[in-house]
Amino acid sequence: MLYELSNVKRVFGDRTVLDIEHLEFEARKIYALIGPNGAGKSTLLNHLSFLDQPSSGEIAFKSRPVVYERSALTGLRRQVVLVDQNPIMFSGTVWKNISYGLRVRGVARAERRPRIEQALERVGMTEFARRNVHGLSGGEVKRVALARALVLEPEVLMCDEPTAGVDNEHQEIILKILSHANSVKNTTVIFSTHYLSQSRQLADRTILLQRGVMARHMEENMFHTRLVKRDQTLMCLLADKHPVLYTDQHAQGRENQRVRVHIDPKQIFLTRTGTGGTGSKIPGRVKSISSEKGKVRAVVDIGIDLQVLTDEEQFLAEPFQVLAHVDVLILQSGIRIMT
Amino acid sequence: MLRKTMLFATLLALALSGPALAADKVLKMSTTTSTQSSGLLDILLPEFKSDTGIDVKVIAKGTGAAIRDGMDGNVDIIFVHAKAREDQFVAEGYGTKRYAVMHNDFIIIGPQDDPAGAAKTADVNAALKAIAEHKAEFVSRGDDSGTHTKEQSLWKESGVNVAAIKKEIVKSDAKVTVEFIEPADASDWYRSIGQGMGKTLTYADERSAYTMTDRGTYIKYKFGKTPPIDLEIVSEGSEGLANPYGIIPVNPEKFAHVQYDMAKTFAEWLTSERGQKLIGGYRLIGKQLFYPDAIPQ
Amino acid sequence: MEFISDSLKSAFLLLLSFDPELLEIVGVSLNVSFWSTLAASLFGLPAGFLIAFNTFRGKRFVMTVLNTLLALPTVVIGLVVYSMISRRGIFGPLDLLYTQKAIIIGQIILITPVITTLTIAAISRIDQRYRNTALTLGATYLQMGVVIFKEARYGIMAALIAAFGRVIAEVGISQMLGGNAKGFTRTMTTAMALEYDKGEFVLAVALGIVLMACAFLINMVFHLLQGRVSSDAV
Repeated sequence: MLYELSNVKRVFGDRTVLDIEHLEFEARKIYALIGPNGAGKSTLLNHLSFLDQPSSGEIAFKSRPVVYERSALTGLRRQVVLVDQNPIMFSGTVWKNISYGLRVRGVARAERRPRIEQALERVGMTEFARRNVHGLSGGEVKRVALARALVLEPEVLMCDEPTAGVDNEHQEIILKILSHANSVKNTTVIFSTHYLSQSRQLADRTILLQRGVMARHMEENMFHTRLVKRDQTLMCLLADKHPVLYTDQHAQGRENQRVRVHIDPKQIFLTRTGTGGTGSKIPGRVKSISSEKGKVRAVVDIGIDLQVLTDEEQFLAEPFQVLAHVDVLILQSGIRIMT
Repeated sequence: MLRKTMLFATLLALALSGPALAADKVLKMSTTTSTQSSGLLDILLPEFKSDTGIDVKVIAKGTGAAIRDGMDGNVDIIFVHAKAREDQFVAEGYGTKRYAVMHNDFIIIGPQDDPAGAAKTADVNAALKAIAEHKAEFVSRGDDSGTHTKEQSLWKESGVNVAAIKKEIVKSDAKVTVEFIEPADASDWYRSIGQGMGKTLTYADERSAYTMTDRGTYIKYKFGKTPPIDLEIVSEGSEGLANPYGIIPVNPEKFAHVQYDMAKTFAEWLTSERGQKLIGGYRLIGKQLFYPDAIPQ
Repeated sequence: MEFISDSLKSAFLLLLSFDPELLEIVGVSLNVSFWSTLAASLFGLPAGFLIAFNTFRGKRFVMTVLNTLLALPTVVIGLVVYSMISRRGIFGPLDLLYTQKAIIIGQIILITPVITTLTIAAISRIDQRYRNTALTLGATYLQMGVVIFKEARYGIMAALIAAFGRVIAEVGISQMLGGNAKGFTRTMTTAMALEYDKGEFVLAVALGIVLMACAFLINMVFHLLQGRVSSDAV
């Protein structure tokens, strides 16, 4: 386990900005931190990069508890790098900036040279090598900051909003750089973002933060429904017309009670209309299909928009198209009443 | 990088080009500001150096402070003009012996139109009396200096009604309460400004007032300055106006570290034929300022 | 008006003449000012740095005290040091009074608060992000300190220049502790005071102009030492 956070709390004055009961990070994966402003994403990243210290609780890195003492911290910081949302450049040239991390580690000039050239190439800034940082655009600064981090070949690369303030053309480049670092160099990547699409595109795991606390569910497939009785059993009325069985942890519930439900996108299955099989199938129409990391995401209209996640292989075995009519099967275990 | 290093080195060299004197033969002497301003030392000291190889370090202050430096052992020899205090200095064991070196004189000066009629009087006592009676503005140094001491004694001698005023002033390193003698009705016309001779003359000139000054400073301000002051001499020559200078080596028994031998050498040189001739021959803007006392010429 | 033009003429003539006495006086001023600035910065720069960087109980109080010390009159410093190095004082046997060393000591006391407070200001103005960026790139605390120092170098240079200007122009300490002895401790400022006392106003102002010319030259050298100034540096 790369990181393990236990009961980590960070308090500023009388505000608790971070409160994490338990969180783990595995090596060689890409993690996305999503949340609104003030959710605690930057605070969490600062803790993971050992720039900040929890008010209480423990963080373990590579199975050893982090000791917050100067020399120990320097050692830890030399294994992970955080790239700021608005990176600041040291006065001087691009080259000088990128060489900084290598210089403080005492890397000889001869060895620095090829590494810096490689890092410049990876971020596509080779022509900028001897330019003074004064006058670089936002996107260029971000790429130099990335190169500054990548040249160190850290075990963990953290980015606070890597595409904030960057124009479209550069956004894709930056995301590609992150993906490349993970796939080729096995770097663990942890980044924060506002954009769900970025996390879908890149992340193996997504962590939701809201007001310093981890939110358990993605804010998708959350619906307001009504409970109805069918055959003596309480069911959820989806989209006001489709009664479905649900998993109820609390034995409460009355007819006509209004509840919020969450449907796990992975526990929804689509079949071509009319093909066999029993169980409550709901008719629907495919609105959109897009490819995500190893999965296929479809939005199906059953009266409400349902997010469906299918394994790539499964989709390829039985593909469907946009505008196709499909039968939607929702597993009972995938529907939960939200309290 | 090279350019910066060179510039830095140049700066360093410039800064350190200040004097780094080898202090083997240096005699520390305290004297008064008026003595220094007279320019006499600028003639005497180079001659002394070429004769003996001794460098004299001159610290000029007011008489009181200069004597105080001797009493504190901060200097090796004192050269002032306040006979009573010099005698006391020797009597109390701070100095070994007072060598009488020379004298210059004080004069009373005032505005050209002389409203008090002081110029017409016979001697300094009468002049002061006239000024007091007329309540003509008079400026005093008021700084407990030798000149000021002389001025106070003159007021006492003149027969004018005087009063003793206690004043607190700062001298060298401590606040001291001194007693000043002033004319009894001083507040109307007598201004005690607590300044050196030059500033006092400037002030008196501005106010067209009377004041007492040493001849040397007067000569400088009257004939050696542009624009010159307008004040004229209204009384001179009386016995009470003589200003004798004495040089006193600090007692090595009180302060073992003082350079007694060099001090004695200087005192004896000043009172030798050579020194005395130089003193008598000194001219300030063509006018003789000092009259040798050891070997009168 | 005539007075000013006379002074300017005299200053010009004085400078051109390379009068040995003048050169000696200039040398003494530069010497004591240089050494006192150097010594004061050896203490003031690290102190300012540490105070700016760390939070500790009583930090506000320390800064208030430092700011108050900026108002220390030279006469007070002169008196206090005089009482200590006079023969009757604690350090009497060191024979420091009326030497250039004494002036330097007094001046160090004068400008150490100046350098400290200005360094604190320069460091405090530095963006917090430099600290974290250096640390995350693997710097030790010392290495990070060097980065902050480099980024604050213009402010720190300004602190040193201000301190130097303060001491080269002061007269209270030079007079009291140096004694204005010709050939030993006569500085440009004490010489000016003397000339004024003698009524030689023109000469006094001329010396003042010489002093300003020296200060100007020194600042030019500093400016060149700083190298290229990027457009966003103040």
